Amino acid sequence: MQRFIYFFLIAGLTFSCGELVEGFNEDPNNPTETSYQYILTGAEVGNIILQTGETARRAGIFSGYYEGLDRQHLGFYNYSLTTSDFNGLWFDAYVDVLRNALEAEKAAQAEGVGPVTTGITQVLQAYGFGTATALYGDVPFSEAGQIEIENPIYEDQTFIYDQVQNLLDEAISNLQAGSGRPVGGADIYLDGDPVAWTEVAYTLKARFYMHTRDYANAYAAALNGVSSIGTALYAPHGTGLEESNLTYQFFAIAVRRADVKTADFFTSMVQSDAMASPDFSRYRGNAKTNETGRFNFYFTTNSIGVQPNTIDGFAAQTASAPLVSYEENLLILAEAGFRTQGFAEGLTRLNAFRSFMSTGGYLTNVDLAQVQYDDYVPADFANGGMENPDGLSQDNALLREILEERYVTFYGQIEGFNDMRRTEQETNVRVPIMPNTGGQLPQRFLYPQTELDRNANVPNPIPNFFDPTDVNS
Amino acid sequence: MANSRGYGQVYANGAEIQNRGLELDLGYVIIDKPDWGWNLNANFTAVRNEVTDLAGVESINLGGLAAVNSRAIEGQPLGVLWGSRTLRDANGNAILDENGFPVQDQQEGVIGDPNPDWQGAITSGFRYKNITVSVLLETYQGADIFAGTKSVLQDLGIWESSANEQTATRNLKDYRGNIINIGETFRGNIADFGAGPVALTESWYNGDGGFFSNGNDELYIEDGSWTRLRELNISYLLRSDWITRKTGLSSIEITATGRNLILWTAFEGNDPDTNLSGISAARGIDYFNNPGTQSYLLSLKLNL
Repeated sequence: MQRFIYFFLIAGLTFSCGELVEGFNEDPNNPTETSYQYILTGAEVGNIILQTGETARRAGIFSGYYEGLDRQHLGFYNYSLTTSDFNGLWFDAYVDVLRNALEAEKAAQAEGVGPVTTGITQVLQAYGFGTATALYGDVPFSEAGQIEIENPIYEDQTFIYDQVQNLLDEAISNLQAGSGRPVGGADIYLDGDPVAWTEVAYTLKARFYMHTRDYANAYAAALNGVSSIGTALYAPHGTGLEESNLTYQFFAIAVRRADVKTADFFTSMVQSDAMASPDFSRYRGNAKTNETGRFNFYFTTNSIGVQPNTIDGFAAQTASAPLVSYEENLLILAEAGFRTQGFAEGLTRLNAFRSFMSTGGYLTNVDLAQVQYDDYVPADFANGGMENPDGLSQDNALLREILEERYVTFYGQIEGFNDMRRTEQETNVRVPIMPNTGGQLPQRFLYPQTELDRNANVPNPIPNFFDPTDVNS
Repeated sequence: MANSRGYGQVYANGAEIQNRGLELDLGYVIIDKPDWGWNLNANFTAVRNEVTDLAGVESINLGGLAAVNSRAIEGQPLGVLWGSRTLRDANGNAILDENGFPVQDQQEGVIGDPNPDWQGAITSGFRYKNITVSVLLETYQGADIFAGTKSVLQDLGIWESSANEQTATRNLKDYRGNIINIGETFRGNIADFGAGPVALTESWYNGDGGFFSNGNDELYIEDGSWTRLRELNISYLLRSDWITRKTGLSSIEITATGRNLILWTAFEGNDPDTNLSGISAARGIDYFNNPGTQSYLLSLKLNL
């Protein structure tokens, strides 16, 4: 009898552990492979979450757009954060977007779909990696999104920006081949239109060149960038609960109105009603400019304060969320044009943007009586001109206006946070965003606790919230 | 797994833990006479647990809250509490801000160990003629607990101490650096984190001193030790010829039992022996748990 007991014990110890978890990883709710078109859609949905969800809102709290009033948003507003606050945001980037975009490319190639589809997946990869490196600094790139690599290495931010540009070049050459579009409906952004995707790829190149202050290349890329609202990249939304605009979901469905409101600083820039404005001296309106239409597109006012317009504006249920927009491309041309070609080019490009806005621009609910964006002339920026009451040089006055226009236009997007950090040293002309508390502006998103726990290659010690990333230091 | 691998999680049998400890069990019959008797049993357990291998992973979340959870970490006891904490210098001293409040570390870490230093129990039985009394006393010493309920209710301003009013006996700074002048009465409390007394007011409890706005969880790690009268049992046995004649029963036993009658603990609020995650490796978190129940039982046993 005793012999049997020993036998069973030994048998148990030998075989049980491995078999105990066998088959556990076969999860019907989490398929690990499928046809390319579903993975492509998944990557694009994931990218909507990354670009217009909590990551963008958090970036907005860090860069003067939003004020956190309660719960975790109050903590974020006061820069009281820890690594685990970023777990979900990192997951959005690396699992929802990048893994899917990498897998979609592999699946499309395995299925022999063709170059346009490959190009789209490469744009999505570049978009995701560029966004991640802008926010977190050094991040996994070459070894990311491959399950067989247990501890992906963290690579230099400048190296990643270079690689992102290469990836976009490769994508553009694939897109320009013109054949091999994804099956109808798989690409929920542009339905595989290679011309529009090529323009988007160029604007993304320009955006990432702006991040690295390579203004000449940014200008050159933007010349081929998004040329109309029709070819811009938007996140589509519908009336279904889960397909609603994410800002709408946060403010109207999750009813987080009591937790977050628009910061007074930002409200003041576009609030044309002196009585309602927290600080009317910040209002951007003048004899040539009326921001009422923009205020009404962005905001509604309720008992808590000024909040995103969830009724018929920026955060309406079915409002498309801007990802890579025509207006961004116009403003890249304005800033990079000014910085590399000079005052005249900067002014021409700014006026191109203003003329776009004067007919409503990206304001989908516009009342044309509430917008006015007449062309500026050089005298407006000369000492004492309407855009230069405080005696800046004419050049600086124009640059200040371009940067402020970018800031106002990038409401609800990550780019406002990127601009804030990029221009922080240009004290004459930067948008004067003040720290919510203390004396320093945020410089990055923290590496998430999940990486610290599970990836041996995460930088140690991790950089501080106030340490600039390489491109900004 | 690291999400930068592109995936969320994988199941594997990849951890090893080691237990080392001492268990003592003593029993003694003090008196054993026909009419009366008394016995005493005691046990004592002290176990040191350590996670010795985690298959290359730094730390695994075993459950709990998003803010504070139990973890398996190599070199630490299983289930250590993990959360936000005070920033410390190389010597382990808390770093304080210019107002005298602790600065929060941007990196989380181990903030407590919910495993007891030791636990023990004493049972004693006493009988006199037909009466039997038994008592069970239990104790659980040196275990940390996260006072989540207190943290939330102080954040919301509805914990008892948040109703306190204080009169400043000197000028005090609050969390935002506002000065409360000597003689001024304010709602809140006074504490000293090491740089002299400061005023804990709404801004503190809504910020690092509370729960929701990324509060400093380490400040709510408390001693979760307890001792309790787990059970008291009194029974009386009726046995007589008269009963047997009248009912045909050989005897009748009436028992009164009380459970969880008395709890001695310094932990405020809930019974520290409850657990958010129920029966699991994740323990030591008080977060609106169902309180421990107290029960009284009366039983009647008819012996044929």
